[in-house]
Amino acid sequence: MNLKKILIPIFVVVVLIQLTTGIYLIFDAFDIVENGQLIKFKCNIPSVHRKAKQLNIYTYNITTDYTKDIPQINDAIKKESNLNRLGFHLNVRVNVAFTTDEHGFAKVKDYYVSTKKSPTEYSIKELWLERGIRKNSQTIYHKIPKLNISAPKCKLSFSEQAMEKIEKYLKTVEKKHRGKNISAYVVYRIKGDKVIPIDCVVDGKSLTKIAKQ
Amino acid sequence: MSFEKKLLKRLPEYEAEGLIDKQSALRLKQYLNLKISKNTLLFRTSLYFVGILLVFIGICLFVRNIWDLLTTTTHLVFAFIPLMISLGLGSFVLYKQLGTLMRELSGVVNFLATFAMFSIISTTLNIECNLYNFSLALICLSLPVVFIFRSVIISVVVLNLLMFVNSDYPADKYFDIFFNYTVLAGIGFFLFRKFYSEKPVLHIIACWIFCIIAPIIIGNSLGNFITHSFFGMCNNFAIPNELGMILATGSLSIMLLYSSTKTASKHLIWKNPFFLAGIAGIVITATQMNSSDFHTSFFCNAQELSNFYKISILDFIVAFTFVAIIFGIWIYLFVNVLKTSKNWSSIIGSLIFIIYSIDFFIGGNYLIYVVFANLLMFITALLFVCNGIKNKNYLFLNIGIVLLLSQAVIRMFVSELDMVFRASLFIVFGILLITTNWYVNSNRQRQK
Repeated sequence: MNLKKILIPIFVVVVLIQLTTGIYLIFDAFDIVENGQLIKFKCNIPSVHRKAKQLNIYTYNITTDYTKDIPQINDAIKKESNLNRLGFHLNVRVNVAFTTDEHGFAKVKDYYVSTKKSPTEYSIKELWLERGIRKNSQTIYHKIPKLNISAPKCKLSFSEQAMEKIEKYLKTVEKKHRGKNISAYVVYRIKGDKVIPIDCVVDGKSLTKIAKQ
Repeated sequence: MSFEKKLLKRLPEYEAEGLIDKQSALRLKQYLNLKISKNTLLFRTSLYFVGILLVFIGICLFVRNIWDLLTTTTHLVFAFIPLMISLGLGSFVLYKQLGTLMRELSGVVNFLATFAMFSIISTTLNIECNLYNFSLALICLSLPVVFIFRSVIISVVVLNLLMFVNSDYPADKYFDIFFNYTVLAGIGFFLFRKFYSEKPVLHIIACWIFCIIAPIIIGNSLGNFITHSFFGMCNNFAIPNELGMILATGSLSIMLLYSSTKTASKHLIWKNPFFLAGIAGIVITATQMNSSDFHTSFFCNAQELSNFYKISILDFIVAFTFVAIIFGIWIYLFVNVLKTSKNWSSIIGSLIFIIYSIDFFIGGNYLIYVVFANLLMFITALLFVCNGIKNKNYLFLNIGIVLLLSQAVIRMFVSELDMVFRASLFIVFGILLITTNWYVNSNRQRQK
């Protein structure tokens, strides 16, 4: 058989593999939405990106005490304390197991440094370690150093009409609470390293529900 | 009216005046008719092409307009339509065995269709964008397309994705070496094969891009592999890592020297992949060294590194066996070239490996890294320019000037020089380019 004629079935197989990857992605997403762990992360008020029809949401990091004895982190703390730095980044892969408090907000249950991603836990590539804070030009050191674990990123897509409604709602909330803190959080479904944001609640109202109204 | 049509009209006139005989006129007529029909076919094909493109854009715009009214399921169904179109187009091109343009087009359509599929699904289902996984998936799914359609464009796209994956995210232990080298070897094989068989300008450019990107990937992945294999503690090796860069400069210097040996030098210099890879790699390593992003890892010497990573000297000895092997081959080739061909550009260019290694072992000194490495590159470039002028060879001359120019361009971005000084550097190089070419040209004409 001519090589050029074999190329057609090979190409068909390649396209079938590409299609299967897409189908797998869809089934995987549905599986996470159905069976993933439901966790809330506190966030700021979403910013509206009308052109991309997306809400950009900045979720706040989760802080936990560094109570473990991990050589890489210990060495880094020693080095940084010599340099007199209060906070610093550490390029290590950390796998984190989340749990929730009584309100359903994320809490760190366990963490460990690893070279590989864990199939069951959330994985981050960089840590922020805090030895203390500066307040009114005074340095206050933490008794136990704190680990800052970055929360999953969040972007929610909506239709143009829905975006208009959401934008309107967000403006009224901002007017209502001018200068005060507004309670907002994102609801995620997490399964291993995979995260899907389902909803964002601002001032007690779900944005997806507003979008559907 | 095209030249062929004009000539076809005048043909009876030439025949009547006895400028050409009857048989020649007949042959010429047949040839010109064939050429005209080919041109018309190309024109018609391009018209079809433009027409299909317009229809396709129209449909896309229409769907975009009603996108918000469609349900999630319809959105997901639409995600697969570009891929089905690509399947149809690709199969047609392969069945009809169409030319390079259509093959490249089918490859690009397939790549864009896969890209569109992923982005539509992830936007519809709010899947968090993971660029690393996304790039890996695109590399794996697009690599077969390179070979099926013999597409240079997609090979370069895949190489860029591979570089992105390597530069932004340090890969896992052994996955690194297998994945990087499989993709690089595949594309390298494809490009060099194409380079030798077809030789159009596009392929030469593609080959150059390969030569530029490959050393960076090799530098990262080889270094990662060695450090991960031998030093269990180094989970967090900064890129481009020190060992990797030494081995990369070593391999590239060997390539450069090998290009001057008897076996390799029988190929013309612009057909010599060893030469191209060596020169391009050395340009990269010489100019990367004073990029501010890499300061932290570049200016650590062996002692500092062993202290930082707490590695025993024994581990270092095992790891540096690789460096010793490369050094052995380098010495052998260096002496060989010095004895036989005395290609000074290759000899001086290859010294970068030695400078880099010495500095790594004894000091991590900024002066040696930056000034000497760039000086080496400058001398190599100057030798090319001199060689070009001496032998009236435009290729040598322009390689030298391109080397000098690239050094200037990179200085433009990485150095803290004054703007006026940078601008004058460009003017100087511009004048150099014009005057040397003018000198060689006038010299040639005088000889004629």
